[in-house]
Amino acid sequence: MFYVEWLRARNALRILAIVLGVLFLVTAIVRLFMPTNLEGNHYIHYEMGASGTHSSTVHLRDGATQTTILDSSGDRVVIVDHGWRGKHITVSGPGVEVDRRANVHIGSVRVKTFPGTNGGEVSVNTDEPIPLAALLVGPGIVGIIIATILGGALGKENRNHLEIAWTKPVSREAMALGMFGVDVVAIVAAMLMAFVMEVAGIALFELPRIEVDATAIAVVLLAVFGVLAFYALCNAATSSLRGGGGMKAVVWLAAIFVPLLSAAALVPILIFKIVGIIFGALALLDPLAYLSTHVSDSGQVASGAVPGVFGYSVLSAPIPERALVLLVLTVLFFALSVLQWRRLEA
Amino acid sequence: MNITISHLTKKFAATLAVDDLSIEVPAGTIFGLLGPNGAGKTTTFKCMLGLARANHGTVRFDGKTLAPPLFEGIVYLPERSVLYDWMRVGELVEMNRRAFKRFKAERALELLKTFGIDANKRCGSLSKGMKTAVAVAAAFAREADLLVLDEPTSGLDPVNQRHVLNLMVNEAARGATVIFSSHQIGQVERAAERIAILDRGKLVLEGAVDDLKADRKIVEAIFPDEHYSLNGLSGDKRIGRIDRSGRIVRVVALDGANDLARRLEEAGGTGIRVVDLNLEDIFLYAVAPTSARADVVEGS
Amino acid sequence: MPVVLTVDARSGVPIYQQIVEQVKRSTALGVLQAGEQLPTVKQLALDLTINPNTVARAYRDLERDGVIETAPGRGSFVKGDGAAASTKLAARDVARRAMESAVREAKAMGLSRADVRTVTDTVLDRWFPEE
Repeated sequence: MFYVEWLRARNALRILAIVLGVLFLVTAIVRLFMPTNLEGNHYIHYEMGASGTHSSTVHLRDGATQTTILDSSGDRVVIVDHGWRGKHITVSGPGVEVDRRANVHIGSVRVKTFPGTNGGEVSVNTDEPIPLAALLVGPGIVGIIIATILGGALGKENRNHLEIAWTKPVSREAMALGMFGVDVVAIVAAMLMAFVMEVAGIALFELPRIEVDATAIAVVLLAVFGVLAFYALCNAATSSLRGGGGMKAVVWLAAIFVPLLSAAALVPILIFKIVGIIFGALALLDPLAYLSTHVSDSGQVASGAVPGVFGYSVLSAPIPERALVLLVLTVLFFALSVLQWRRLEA
Repeated sequence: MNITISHLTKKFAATLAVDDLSIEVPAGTIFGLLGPNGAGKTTTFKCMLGLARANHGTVRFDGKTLAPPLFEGIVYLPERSVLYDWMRVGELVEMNRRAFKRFKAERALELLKTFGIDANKRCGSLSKGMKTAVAVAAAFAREADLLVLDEPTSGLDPVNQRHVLNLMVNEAARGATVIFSSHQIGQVERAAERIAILDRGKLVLEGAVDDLKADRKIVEAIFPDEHYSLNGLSGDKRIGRIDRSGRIVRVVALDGANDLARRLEEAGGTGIRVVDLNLEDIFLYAVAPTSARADVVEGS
Repeated sequence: MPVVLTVDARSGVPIYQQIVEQVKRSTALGVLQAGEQLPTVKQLALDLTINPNTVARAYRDLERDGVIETAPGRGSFVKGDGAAASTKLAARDVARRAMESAVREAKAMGLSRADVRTVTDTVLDRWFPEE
């Protein structure tokens, strides 16, 4: 019954598979031809190249190699190399200038700095767990692209195909919901494909460790519902149009600019405040606004800096609450789509 | 499947596309819908199948109102192609197989072969006529109870046009009801048992083709001079129209042509001729009275 | 079925009537023999690309006129016993129709009754010289 949508979804996923495959291949080629001297300790030898440098290597019991390099000025570099499982590098000594404590975590890399009386210490660990939220950015973007391609499913039927869609032995409501169902499965599959490819790409270099904590389910749901809500929004905007490709471009622009324009409320001028509040209210309907998160120092997912409306901002709400709101938006947009579609005439 | 259309009315802004249309199509009939462009044929089809909402009136299928499950047995072939251009012909067959329980995929593929269509081709790469043929192949493999075919031969060559008409005959022989429209009156005349003629949304004529032909004649008479009286004929319900042109008079008889011929003779007319009307004549008299009259008068 | 029926859909003569006349003429001419089977309604409809109901109507008329008979499940046949009678009836029917239109034409062109009789005699002499 929903074979047409299934074909559309299949074709989109086929193209996605090719694109992801090519990206993976490029990554693999980069990995193969990566200069080998970055891998070993040659680089550090080169950097510290002055005479009087000592280096010694010992094999630790857990299979790692520990290389200690000392130069004449007393600076020391200790590299504990776990191979595929990552490296710990510590640089310390009077030549290391550190003016404050820091702890920065990006992806699997964590950099810590400690100021000391006689020089400082910088440590770099490459085997830190990657926050799940960070790993979901890629699949989220892929999901939104696929959602845009498949979105407006009903609008596509409206352009010359209603005679086919509406003369099947199924009600219009069931037809629309069935098509949405096919697309939802395809979008989740696309996100999963992107996630797997992303992890596989990282694995070409180092063992990927994913930080799964108590918020993991909520974070995954936030990403999935965010993408699905955007798909539903594309449908709601195009269900009464013939085609609707142009409208999808408008949806994209609006989804990006509405949250940004809501920042106008921060300007202490009345007109800006009013504009900001209006766009802030509109942003509540914008699935992308709920996804404007960033990864903080502590690896936690924090809300975006979009101001709320009337003192309340769902955008700064806890993740499970936002995921729930996105689910409600998805259902709302689906309902709007069906309501528009069923009243059309072929 | 027996179809009853009663008082169907459809308004588009200020115009009445379908104006209080009532037609009964008995089961197992091939029913031809005729009318000039814009007469409301396509709108009638769309209202029948719920694709457009009628402002007034009802359509019943074997006494039942339209509901989604009925589409298991109802085929609609739209006037212009509504195929998915990106789809392969084979995928379209598969779409039908999945949507309709009674659909016979082998039959569809066999029909595609007779039309000379490669199932691997994309629908968008086909010519207009071949798109019609693809839709026809899918429609006639449905084992339907009712086929609503809007211009089912448009774009096809004469051989394939005849093929489509034969498929319709085959469906009717199976017991299915076929309702179709065509610009080619000759096709309707050949294949349709009953016809309805629409003009500006209104039903102007309905009946069995053979009955219309048997009943409707032109009776022509020549009088000795221009001062003859036909008073006896006015008000006769069996007379469609009287065209006088000098000494010649042509009377369109809706029935009883022989009786009329006798009466014209009694009135002093000579050279009485009774002329058969084919469907095209009947159609033209029904929808374009003035031009048809001029044609008959000058063409004598 | 050796007799090939043809119809002129574009003529003003109803199609069922054309079939009836052709079958009658074929029987009268002996082209269709007594007991011979006619095509089924569906077959003839497909052969001529005409509505099956039209064929059925023609067959009903032929049956009513005693030209053919239909055995349920077996098909329609040219009537066996009394075929001659029905043939004659059919022949008369066909002949009368043709002559009627000829006479009407003649009259329309201004021929008198005597004129028409003279013409008829000429034609009769040609086709029945021995009488």
